[in-house]
Amino acid sequence: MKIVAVTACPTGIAHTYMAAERLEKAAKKLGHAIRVETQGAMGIENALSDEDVKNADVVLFAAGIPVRSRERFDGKRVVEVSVQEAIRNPEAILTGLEG
Amino acid sequence: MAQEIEFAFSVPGGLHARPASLLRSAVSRFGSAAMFVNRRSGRTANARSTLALVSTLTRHGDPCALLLDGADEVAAAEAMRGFLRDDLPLSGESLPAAPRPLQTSTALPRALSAAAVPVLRGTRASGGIARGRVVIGEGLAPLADGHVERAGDAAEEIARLDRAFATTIAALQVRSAGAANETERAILGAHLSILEDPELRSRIEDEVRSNGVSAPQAVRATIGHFVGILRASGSDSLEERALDLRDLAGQLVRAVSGDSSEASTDLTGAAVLVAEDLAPSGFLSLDRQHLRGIALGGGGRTSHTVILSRAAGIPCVTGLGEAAAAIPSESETIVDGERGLVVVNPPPAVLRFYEAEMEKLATIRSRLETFRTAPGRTADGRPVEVGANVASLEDVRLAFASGAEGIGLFRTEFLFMSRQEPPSEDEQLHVYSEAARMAGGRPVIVRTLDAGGDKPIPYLGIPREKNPFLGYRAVRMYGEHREIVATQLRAILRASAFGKLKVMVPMVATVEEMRGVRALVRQLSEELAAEGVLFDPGLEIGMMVEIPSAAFLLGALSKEADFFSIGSNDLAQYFFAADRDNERVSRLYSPLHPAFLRLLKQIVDEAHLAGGWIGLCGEMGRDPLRAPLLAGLGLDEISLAAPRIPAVKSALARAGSGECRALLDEALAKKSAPEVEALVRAFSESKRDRAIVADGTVRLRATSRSREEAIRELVNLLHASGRITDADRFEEAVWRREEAASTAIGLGVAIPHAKSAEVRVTSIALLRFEPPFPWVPGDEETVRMAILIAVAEDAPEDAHLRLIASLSRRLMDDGYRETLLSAADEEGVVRLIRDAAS
Repeated sequence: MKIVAVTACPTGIAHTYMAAERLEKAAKKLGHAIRVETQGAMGIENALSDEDVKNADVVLFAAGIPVRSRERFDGKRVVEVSVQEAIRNPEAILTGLEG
Repeated sequence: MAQEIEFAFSVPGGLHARPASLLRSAVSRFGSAAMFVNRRSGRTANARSTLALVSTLTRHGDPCALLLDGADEVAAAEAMRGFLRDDLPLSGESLPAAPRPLQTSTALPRALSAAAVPVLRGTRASGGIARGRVVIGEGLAPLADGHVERAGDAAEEIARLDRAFATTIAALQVRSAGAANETERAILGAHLSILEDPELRSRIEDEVRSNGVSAPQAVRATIGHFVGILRASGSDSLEERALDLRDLAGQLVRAVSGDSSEASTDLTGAAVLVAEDLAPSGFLSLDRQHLRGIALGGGGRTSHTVILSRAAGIPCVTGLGEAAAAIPSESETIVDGERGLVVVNPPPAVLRFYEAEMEKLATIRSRLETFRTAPGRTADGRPVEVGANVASLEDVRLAFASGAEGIGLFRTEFLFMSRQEPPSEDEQLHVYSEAARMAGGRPVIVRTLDAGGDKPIPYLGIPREKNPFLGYRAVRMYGEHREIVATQLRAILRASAFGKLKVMVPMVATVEEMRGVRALVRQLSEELAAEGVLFDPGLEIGMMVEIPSAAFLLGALSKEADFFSIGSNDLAQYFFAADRDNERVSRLYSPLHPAFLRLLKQIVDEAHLAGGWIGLCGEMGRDPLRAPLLAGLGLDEISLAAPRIPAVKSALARAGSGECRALLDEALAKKSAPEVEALVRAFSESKRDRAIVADGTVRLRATSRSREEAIRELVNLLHASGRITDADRFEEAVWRREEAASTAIGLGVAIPHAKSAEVRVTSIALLRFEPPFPWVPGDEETVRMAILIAVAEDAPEDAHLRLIASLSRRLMDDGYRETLLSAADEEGVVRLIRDAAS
């Protein structure tokens, strides 16, 4: 499965990056391809390209705040979870996406 | 023709008793009549009357004038101009400043808001935290107690007043002689100056004569009159000065009534004094052995009582209102002078909170104290001696109390001014030897007489000159006044037996001038040796570098001068051909101008080339921002007004000597003073400690056993190391984030974090817990470690944010967490965090 994800949290200091790391690790373990864009204190990093979005099977938002440039994902299947949830149970979330 | 000086009143607290008594004593050195005019309030006063000065209700910034009229008005005007410009603004600085008022909206720290006992709120008057048992003190006696006391015989009442004034003044003098610090001495001096005020005395006597009242009644009525004026001033700080008058009224009334006992409260054990109000004399009579803290119903933040408590380091909370009266005697009480709180009978959690606070304050204090007593040096250890400029023995005392490493300039003019003949050798010997004794082996540079047409001294008979600054002055008149100069040099030589004195000659332009002084010293030394009088045969004789031509003659001058000191004020005036007191041209006088810095560099290099020692004793040395620039010049010493010494040392300690030289090079390449100003500002900004984590922000054996305690402990680590400005407010910010969602993320680690204005430097603090505990009560999982991330609001520090992002990612790695949990010491943890990015 090809996944694109965006992580973001209110302060953008820590949880944004923790969630990104957890999702990347879990995807690798489960054999999924994932690209994670972080929207944190340092702005948008690892920005998803139009190509990434177009090719993705599913979009995952792990965010405690509204995701920026959301219109990029119009027409795609978007699943939203809290950033804490993404840190705590990344594998369960990814498995849930397959449904 | 009278002299008139226009000025803006420069003391932040307004013209209260202390600056008024200084102004009075400065003016009293001259015979001229002196009138103080406040152009805003429209009030005028005889400047020789402290009370009249105080009654002008002068506030900071008021447009004022000083009118001088009499035979020595020109000299008086010149001296007073200098006093108003240089000395008066500093009169408040030697005293501990009032703490910043807290915003009333500030929430209490968790430990206090969760406490089951009421927390009394007042005003923080003196910082620190005290714990002790309550002793109830007496309030102040009322000024008017209703009944009128008629007296039979006015002459008898006036005789009683005479005795009362005499005993009260004597008691104050005794107390002043035994004062514990400069602040006490200054305040007692102000009180003495009020008691010695002729206007107070004559008004009280008038009261007795015209109204036929008793002496105590006359004292109360007269002081009541002045208190009324202050109360109506509309200025809090002036209103609070009424306390001094009420204090003196109380002392006088007691003395008139023949009551010799002091109104004092007995203290035993660790005591917290609780009272409606406390007079300065009441404070001074308390047993400091037992006094831990003070809680007052009334009072403000600037009264002399709270200034005294600040100087003595006694925590004090004022303005508790009626709540103060309800505090029971003997109850265990916390006085929190940091927040303006009082907690009576604190429960254990509150006590634990305050124990941690006290420990933290002690850490912060010892960090600052080390700094005050440490020698001046750059970050890489190159010594730059930090000395003080003084004009009196009082100044010398203050200088060493402020951490001076020596006296870089002892101005002696004041010894010679306002008198009909020069001071005797013995009189001068007393002053110089006392200074040497106080210095205890540290150097004291005594500048010989620097008189001239601008500060005329009657017995020198200096003619009025068209241009006194370019005229007959200082060393230029030593030939004609050989006797006076020889007397001064003999006094300095004799005093050199008591310590490390040095002589410095002002306004030297030629080699011959220095030779002349040296020859005289040699001759005097031979005389003293022949008389069998002790002196230091190696007494160094140096010179001021304040005439631009001397800057280009230092090689030759160094053969005659043992050391140099740059007088940057005069040097800059002569260099720019601009009088810094002349508003029309003073903008041209700019010591930071690259042209002037080039001159300074030429001087320092030349002096060093000749193997000489060179300092700087002008006002230029006073600003801590400029200290790195001065260190870059390679100066051996900077001498400045005492109150700024710790700040200058701290600025030096933050900059490496190589960086200072690079800063100077950059400054020399600039085109204007404002550009250099901006450069030194940016440099100072960049010098704040930027390390994100340090040994002091990591604790491997945390004492906390709950989220509340852990967050406070983490915040305290950052506060104790100077990384956040306000622990309570930052704690609040952390809790706001924590309440949005718990930061325990399920891997045995909690990562509380916040971005807030209280953060000085983006930082990380870490605690390890043994045994682990649930972060939020009811959590299944426990945390073994908490990492607090504090991000600064103003400066985007990308490198730090990058590190934090990397650290956040690394923490998701089981192996990395384990290394953090098993690191043997703080240093290891610091290294692991710093390396998280790689």
